[in-house]
Amino acid sequence: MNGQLKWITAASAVLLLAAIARAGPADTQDPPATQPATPAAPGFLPASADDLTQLPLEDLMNVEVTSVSKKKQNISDAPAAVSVISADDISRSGYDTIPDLLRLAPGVDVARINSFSWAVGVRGLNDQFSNNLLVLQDGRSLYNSLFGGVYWDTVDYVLADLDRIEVIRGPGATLWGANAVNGVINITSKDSRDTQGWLLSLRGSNDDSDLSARYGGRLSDDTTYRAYFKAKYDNSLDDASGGRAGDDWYGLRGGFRIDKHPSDDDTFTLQGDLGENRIRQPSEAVIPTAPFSMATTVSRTDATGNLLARWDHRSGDNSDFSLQVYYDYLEALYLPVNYNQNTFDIDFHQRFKLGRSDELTWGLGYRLVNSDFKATPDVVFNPSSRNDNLYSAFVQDTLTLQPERWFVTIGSKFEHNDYTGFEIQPSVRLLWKPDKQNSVWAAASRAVSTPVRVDTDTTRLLVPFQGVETDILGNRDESSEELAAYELGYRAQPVKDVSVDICSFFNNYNRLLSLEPGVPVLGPPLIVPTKLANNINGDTFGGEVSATWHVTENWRLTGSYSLLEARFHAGDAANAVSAKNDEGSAPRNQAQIHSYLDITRNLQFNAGVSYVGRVPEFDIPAYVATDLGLVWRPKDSMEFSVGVTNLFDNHHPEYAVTAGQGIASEVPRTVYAQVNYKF
Amino acid sequence: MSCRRRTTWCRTAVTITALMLALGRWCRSDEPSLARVEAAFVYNFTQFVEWPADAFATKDAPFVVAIVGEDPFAGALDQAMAGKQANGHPIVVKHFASADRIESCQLLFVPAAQDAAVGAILANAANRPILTVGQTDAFMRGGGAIRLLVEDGHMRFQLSPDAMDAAKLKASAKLMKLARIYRK
Repeated sequence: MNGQLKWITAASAVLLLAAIARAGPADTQDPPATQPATPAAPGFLPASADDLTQLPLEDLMNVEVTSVSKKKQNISDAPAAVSVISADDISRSGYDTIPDLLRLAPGVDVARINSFSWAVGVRGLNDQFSNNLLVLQDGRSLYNSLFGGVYWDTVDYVLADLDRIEVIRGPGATLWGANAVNGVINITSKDSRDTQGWLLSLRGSNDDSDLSARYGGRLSDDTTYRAYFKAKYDNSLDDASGGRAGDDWYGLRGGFRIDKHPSDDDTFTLQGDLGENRIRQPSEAVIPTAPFSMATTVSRTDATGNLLARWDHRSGDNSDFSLQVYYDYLEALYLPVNYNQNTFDIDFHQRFKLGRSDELTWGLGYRLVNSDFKATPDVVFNPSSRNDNLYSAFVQDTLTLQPERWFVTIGSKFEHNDYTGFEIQPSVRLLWKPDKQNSVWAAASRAVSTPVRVDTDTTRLLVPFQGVETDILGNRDESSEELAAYELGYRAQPVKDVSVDICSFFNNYNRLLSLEPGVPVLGPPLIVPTKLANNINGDTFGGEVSATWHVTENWRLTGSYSLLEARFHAGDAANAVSAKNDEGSAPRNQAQIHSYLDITRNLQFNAGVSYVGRVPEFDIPAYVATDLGLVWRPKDSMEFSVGVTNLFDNHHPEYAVTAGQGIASEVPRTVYAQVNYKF
Repeated sequence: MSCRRRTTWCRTAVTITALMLALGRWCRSDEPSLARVEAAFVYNFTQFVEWPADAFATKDAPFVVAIVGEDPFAGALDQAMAGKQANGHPIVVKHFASADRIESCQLLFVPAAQDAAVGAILANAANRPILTVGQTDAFMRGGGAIRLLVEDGHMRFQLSPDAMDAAKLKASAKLMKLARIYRK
């Protein structure tokens, strides 16, 4: 059915890992009717069938139904730590940016650095440029080869047209390859046939404001499209004394998507976006005399563009494949950075059943990244321009050891890249389902994070670091960072309206990046040349607990708690600082609770309280944030929302910048009002 | 946590819980079953499709919704239509054991269990102002007009403009916009 195609179209790791659900004993037998781990509240639902007829047809189409006879992938069958932020969660959150939406998932560290940048990580080792988290938007990697991270200000969409955000905690390396070390974030937009007609949206706030327009139409019986435009203005955040931090920015973005469904077995998608952000970035300029840095404001431009085409094909229930090609462009210009990259990527994967208890998934991929760093006074790359080839293949087999009870998945990804050569990332996962209400899973995996240009190619990178002017020099012999991860998880539905998900992990890291300060060179100014090496290793362990409780038909509560303990050791005294920073880069404890209440058919009240622990690396204190929101739909076509985030806080810091990336701001109390008009 | 933060947390939690209790509803009910959602869709079809005047014997004739064979809705369709009107006529739901027993009707629901007999059923309804609603691919291939299906956890429907034209029925623009157009 088309539902299966949609899963594959989203290139979801959940699909591939949850292939276990498909491996039933007989072809005609349906998989066990497991309950979804986090059933989404579909909105106001009256008690009797009579009242359902009062819902407008568009709302009826958003109601979630569980159909026992469908071979639907259930998160509860995946031997991995997965959570899904649904379209409903997105609309109720009151958030206006994708990185802020990630706060809703358990175990994700989201720290806002200033109005245009965030540090997002999973299970520790957080950083403004976290190089061990893979982020994908509709199958396209958002990883930049310069720093190895994501420019979050360039990750945006008409949020009402997002279908879901899947967060996989733990290594997704077997399926996603290198740099999916600590987790994978998969952002999926809706098929254009589900976003027909006009949507006009206006949001005003003391933080993010935006105006967006989207139109969805039909090109032919089986082809639909949408086109959108979004203009965004992000106000300055606060500085430590409560004044303006001067980091405001505006962005323009537009794009389209075309979907063709000639039959139930085939889907063709073509989509593209263009965006440009103009930012005022408070920064530190390197100066030759003490204190070697001077506060200044830098003009910044981030520009992006992409074009993606995908074909999903299904042959019966036992076989399907997906072929995808995309081109992606990124340009970041904010002295001392002057960088652009072009990515060309082609990817194919196929799943098919071999016999009754064996399901094989395999794939091939090639990526070419052409990147260019134009030298600036403080930063020089050698070579300034290069083309990097990445060849990858993966294979994964899911075996049913005992029908509906025991499943094992074994697989590996094989890659060859132009920095470290050949990399192998295997994984073994076991799933045990004692009954319909419980499942236990365990996994052991290896994952790597490959070097990026700033690790290997810099011949000059002058930044103020630890109060001293530092020249960070790339290391051509840099090797990959390695992770051996051991995970254990348990999912249960103890009573009908409650679901619980517990995950634990032990991560053993080797060859983590370290900074090795050398002999200072007397100036003036005094400069400490610092080499990059792989001399840190250590462990992290911890887990996440999340639960959902449908208290009444109109009231849903969800909560989560996550724990992270980190111990890193330096190879020698020179790295001690780096190791300590790695340990303290993410909070030990985080917790949140959200309440989603439908007061009447037209009125929602949404509330959330979250606690984020202290970040020792930057001495950022713990904070509690309270968010409240009200959504009112007086008519089918109109939706008004108002709300406040950080209700009890004038402003609080969440993170600090990586050296040379400007100055961090504090996140203020935010009040917003939004209107959505559909017709 | 510091004293101040703990107080803030407690105060927040109490405030929100109090608000929830004041505004929440306590009665527990079942999740929306597939049947109830399907029944609501069928009701919407009666509202957003136009029947020709000669589809009804008299001005006061009822709008008959006929179900062939065993009721897959377990009464939910009867409940959904109770006391409602369509095209200016009061809706009445009737159950028929088999296709040949169907008297005049305006909407004919063909459950999935009737797949074997779908050819005969649709032949019976052919060229008459009857909106045929079914659940399977065989139903659509046989010339059915609207099919209800579940896709990725949501209810969707296919609509065949050819079948609608053959039955001299007009679907509203809204219905056409939300439908998956079906062409053989």
